[in-house]
Amino acid sequence: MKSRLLWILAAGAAALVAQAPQPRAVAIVDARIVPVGAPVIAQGTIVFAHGKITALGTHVEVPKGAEIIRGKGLAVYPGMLDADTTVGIAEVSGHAPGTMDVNELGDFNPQLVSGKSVNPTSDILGTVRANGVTTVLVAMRGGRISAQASLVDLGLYTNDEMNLERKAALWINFPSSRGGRGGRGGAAAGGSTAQQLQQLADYFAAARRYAPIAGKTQFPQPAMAAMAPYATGAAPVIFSVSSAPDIRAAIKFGQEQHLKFILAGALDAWQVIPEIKAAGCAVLYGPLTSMPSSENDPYDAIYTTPAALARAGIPFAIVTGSAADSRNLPYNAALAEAYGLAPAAALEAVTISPAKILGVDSQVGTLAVGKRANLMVTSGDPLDPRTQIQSVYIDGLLMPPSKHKRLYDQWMARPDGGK
Amino acid sequence: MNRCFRYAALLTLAALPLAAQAYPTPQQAAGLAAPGDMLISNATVLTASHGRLENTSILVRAGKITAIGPKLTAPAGTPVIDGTGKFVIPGIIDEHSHTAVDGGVNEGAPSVSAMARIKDVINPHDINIYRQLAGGVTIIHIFHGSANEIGGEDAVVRLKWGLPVDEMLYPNAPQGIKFALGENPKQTANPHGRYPATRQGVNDAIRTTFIAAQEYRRRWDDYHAAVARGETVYPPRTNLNLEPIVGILEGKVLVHSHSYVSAEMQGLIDISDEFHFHIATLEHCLEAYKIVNEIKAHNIGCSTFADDWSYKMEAVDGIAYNAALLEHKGVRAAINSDSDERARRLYQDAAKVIHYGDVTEEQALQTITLNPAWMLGIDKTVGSIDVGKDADLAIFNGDPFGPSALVEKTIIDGRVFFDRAQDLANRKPVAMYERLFKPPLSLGLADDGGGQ
Amino acid sequence: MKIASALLLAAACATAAAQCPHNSYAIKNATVITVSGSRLTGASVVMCNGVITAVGADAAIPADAEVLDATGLTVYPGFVDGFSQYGLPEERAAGRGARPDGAEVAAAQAREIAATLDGIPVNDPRRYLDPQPEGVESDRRTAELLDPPATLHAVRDSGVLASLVAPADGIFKGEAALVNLVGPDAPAMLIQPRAGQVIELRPAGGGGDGYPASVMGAVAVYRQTLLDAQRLQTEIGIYQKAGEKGLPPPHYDPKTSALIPLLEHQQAAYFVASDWDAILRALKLADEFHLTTPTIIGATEADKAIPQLQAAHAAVLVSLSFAPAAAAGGGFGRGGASPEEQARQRQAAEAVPAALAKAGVTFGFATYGMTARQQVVEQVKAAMRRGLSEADAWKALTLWPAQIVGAGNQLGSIEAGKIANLVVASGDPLTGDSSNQWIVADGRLLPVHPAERPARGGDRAAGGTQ
Repeated sequence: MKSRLLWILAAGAAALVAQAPQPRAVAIVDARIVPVGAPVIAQGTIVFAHGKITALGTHVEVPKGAEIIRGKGLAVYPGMLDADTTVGIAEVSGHAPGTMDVNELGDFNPQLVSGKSVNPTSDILGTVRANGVTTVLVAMRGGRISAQASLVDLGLYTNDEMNLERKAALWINFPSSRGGRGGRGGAAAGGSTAQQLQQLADYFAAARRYAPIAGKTQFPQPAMAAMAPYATGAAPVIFSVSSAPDIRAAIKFGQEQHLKFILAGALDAWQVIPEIKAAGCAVLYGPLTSMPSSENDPYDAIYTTPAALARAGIPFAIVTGSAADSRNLPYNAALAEAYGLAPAAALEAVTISPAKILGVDSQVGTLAVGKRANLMVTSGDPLDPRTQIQSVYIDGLLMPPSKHKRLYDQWMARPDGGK
Repeated sequence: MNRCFRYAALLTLAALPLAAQAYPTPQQAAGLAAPGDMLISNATVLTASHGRLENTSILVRAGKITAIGPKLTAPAGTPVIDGTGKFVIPGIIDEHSHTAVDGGVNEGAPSVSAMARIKDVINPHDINIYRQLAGGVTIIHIFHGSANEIGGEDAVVRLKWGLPVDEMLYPNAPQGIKFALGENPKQTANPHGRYPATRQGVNDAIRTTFIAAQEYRRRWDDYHAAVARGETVYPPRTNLNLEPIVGILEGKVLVHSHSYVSAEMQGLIDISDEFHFHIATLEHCLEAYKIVNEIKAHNIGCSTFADDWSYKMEAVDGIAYNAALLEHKGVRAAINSDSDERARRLYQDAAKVIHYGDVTEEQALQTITLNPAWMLGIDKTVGSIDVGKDADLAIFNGDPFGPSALVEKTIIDGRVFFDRAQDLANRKPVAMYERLFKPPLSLGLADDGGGQ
Repeated sequence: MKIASALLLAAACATAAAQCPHNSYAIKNATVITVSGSRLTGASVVMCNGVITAVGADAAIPADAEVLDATGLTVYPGFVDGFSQYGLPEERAAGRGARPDGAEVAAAQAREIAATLDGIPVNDPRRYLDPQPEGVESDRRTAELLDPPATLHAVRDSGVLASLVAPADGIFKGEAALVNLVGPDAPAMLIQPRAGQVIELRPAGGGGDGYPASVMGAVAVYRQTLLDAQRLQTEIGIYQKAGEKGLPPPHYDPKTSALIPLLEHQQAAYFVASDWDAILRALKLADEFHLTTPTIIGATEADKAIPQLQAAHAAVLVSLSFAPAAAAGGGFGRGGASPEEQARQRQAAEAVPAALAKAGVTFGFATYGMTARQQVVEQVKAAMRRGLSEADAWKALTLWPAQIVGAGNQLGSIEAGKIANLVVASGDPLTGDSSNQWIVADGRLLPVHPAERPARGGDRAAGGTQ
């Protein structure tokens, strides 16, 4: 693990330019603490230092010299994890290609690492984090095999520091039987669906042949080398799919290829719950703000799917599949809550559940001793859109206000009058 | 054995996903055509005009709200909805919609297309009408697109699902027209060199159009004067592209202008000063917060997104706090969808105005009810829960701004046009609906009709 | 003039069958499906100068008549096609069924726009204050465009012998003509040269960059064009009232002049409209300009608009393509339907004729929009499988469309006095296995060439539509 300094910032951007402060522990006292996965602490204290949570509970000793934050009337929640985004690599989505690093040319690009170009000072990133999303899976979208998706903490300073797991999963836009783009990606390889599937299978077969010589051969192939952990089932692949027939096909493909696979998007999952359950795979479901795929579908088909997944015992997370809209992750979860998902399960679906699915639950997803100090201080339930997010800490650092808040403060201060 | 089998069959059926109910039959729709009576009893009422009322009943007669208060009673035979534990709000008004438009929302070829009329191309059978009803929406303001600096005429439509278009148009709503500034009119159709291609040019084309409309009006005035003098003259040609502009000059047509950056909004305000017309709303207006004083001075409404931004260059200074800032500084803000999808959850978007900028519950509610009604010129009859107003209401399972809010019933003119319980009861198991509506692929493709 | 002479001849022949030297023709010993009356067996059909003079078992056959012995064969009236582009050269026939690809369209439009706006600077306000529309072809006369292609015999061989014809492109497509689908030249084909105006409220360029580019733009063009025509009417009235002096003469723009007969109800109004909403829109806009008793062509979802069709006293010419409305919509608003949804819509379209018959809406069939692989008789059989009676199917192919296009006295049944358009077939085409053997078009006997008879059955029979 990388070591990093813990800098405590008194307040806001002004402190950023001040002399680097000494690392201090932080203690939020007298707050309602919702750790997720453990009982709520009605009034207690949480302490973190050097980027990690060191203590939490009703009776916790505040370390000497720690910065004390009064939490009375406030609540502390773990930061949220959005397991399907383009945060940091997509800035202005329309008519500004210079701000986008999402779609690469070519159909098979497993050698690409999505998180490599995440911009730490992205304005979008700042608004996402200000709403309590502290970790995201960043995935490029182009072609058939888009890239490796990266888990990124939305902290400050450098891209390198932010990457929690650069090679978290392999993103695949699964061929669609409906033509057009499969999954979320742009246009991919031509030919019939069967031909596209065969191409993908051939690619995995080649990667498995290459795996034993990876790192040894004098003729290295970065793409094949990158495929090795995914082709052999050591690391997860993510199939971006939408329709029910495509979900069935993706499951079949994953099983035939002996892959460790996850479904992403999966909007029509409600039609194939038994098949997904039998496959034992996890689902990154969303965005909830999607339309039902057919006008014959129930109007609430998307909203009710998380509850159906939960009832079936299928591991799932709620995701936004977006950059700017990632800030609405909690409200995606709220839509699921309104249509039958238990409130606790809705919160888990944007915290610990994605962390477990992506294998980083020992680091993020709940408030527990030893985990990263990724958390938010709020006026209440973060899934309630009326709730105010007072402050957000990532790896123990207090995050500065978003561009939105800065401009708001600036123009609120404009005197009356004018033309 | 037999019983076990039946039980298993029942379980299987229960586990099957369900498909939606069908379009209302003419018989069902006929029952909804005339305004209705009803009593909603003992609910929490968010009025949007005079605060939150607990344990309150609403009496509706012939489609109008006739009484609001505790423990109201209704004449025998009046349908009663038990509102215990429920929240009632005014029907949601989506101030910026392109739902249910047939054959393209833009007449994008000429840079002024005032002759196009949304009312000509409304599709009353669009499934999105039903989906939006299910989100508590009762009125949508359907706009021409933003490909031209002056687009077509709008329609204010009530979501009376199952009824013909003519019965969906909001009675006596003033005619409005779409203007558009910035990137969209600049970029559209420029492969063929369509003027204008800059914000300055957009401003010029609008000015020029108003000058032409003044001239056009003079020609008609001269004609009428000549006829009055008993002269034999030919009438001028009716130009459908200038008629609505004359309507604006005469105060009969409301201007709703798509806009992003503060300078282009200021430019249009200047034109309105020069030609003495009023701008009803700035649409989107992501940078309205930068010229809030000027907007306030001209009594312009701002219809914006809750928090959408950064989807193009002119949207990078959009802030989620825009609506709250406008409200804090005395400008009326509406939260709109501009989207078939987002329109289904405007209540959640309105709650974000509390999240970003901390307005009151009533202010947040007004952004999707009374304020859009005011912008459309229909706030005297709809938009809040007040005696004498239309009984356009949405009933929620709980607090509409809370994390588990869903719409149970949507009411227009005292008739229930969406009822979640009924919707659930009418659903068919998917297996059955696939048999009914989704023939096997082989059958569809073997038939040689149509395919080319 | 053709009509008048035919009628005169018919009258003459009825009174004196013998007065038809060297131009008399008869079919005898046939089963005759008259459509207007009962089915006859062992009957004769006698024709003179292209007109039927006698029908029946006891019809007298002139001694000098050429006779075809049709023992074992069936004679039925030639189909009257409610709308098609038969007889037009290819480029005029090009409708949305055969549209050039996007690049060609764009290039053509670019040329057209450049031509239209020739000499007007790019920033001239005229370009946006009064944009010049594409697709107003009201002054185009089908009668003058006819140029029968050599392939027309294939149409006749399928049984279609007459059709209402106008070009497929445009909002105002021009003046339609009712034509016999047999040459030798265009004038010989005309039954009614000025049969009405055909209108379609869709962008002329299929949604390209020209104006209009949307349905609402097409509606605006329709409205502006008819307002202009009304203004010309007004000017003419004022000018005449003023004794044609003291004022400049009215501005006789050809496109608006051509629409005055429509406004004055001297010509029929045909609206091409396929889906439900397009039909309702057409009826509304016909009413806006008091175009009474409009006829709807296409009408894939006419069953959903029955009350409005009845209220407007509108007739319907149902396209035998049974194309899904989404596909027919050409990507406008309703595009992107899944194959399953399209199949469902096609089945629904096949049920439309039965629904119209049940409701008593006046309708007939049209081949407009049919693909090259589709066959008239097979399409009608699909409608029969969805409830259309055999008797109504016959009428919808012959007499009803003839009546709708204003030729009920001339076409559509085997009766004395009507134009001699007949098909001689082995068996009954709607109920059994049958193939056309001879065509009698405008009184001329033409053999059906077996090799050129369209292939039958095949995958369609195997696939079925049940």
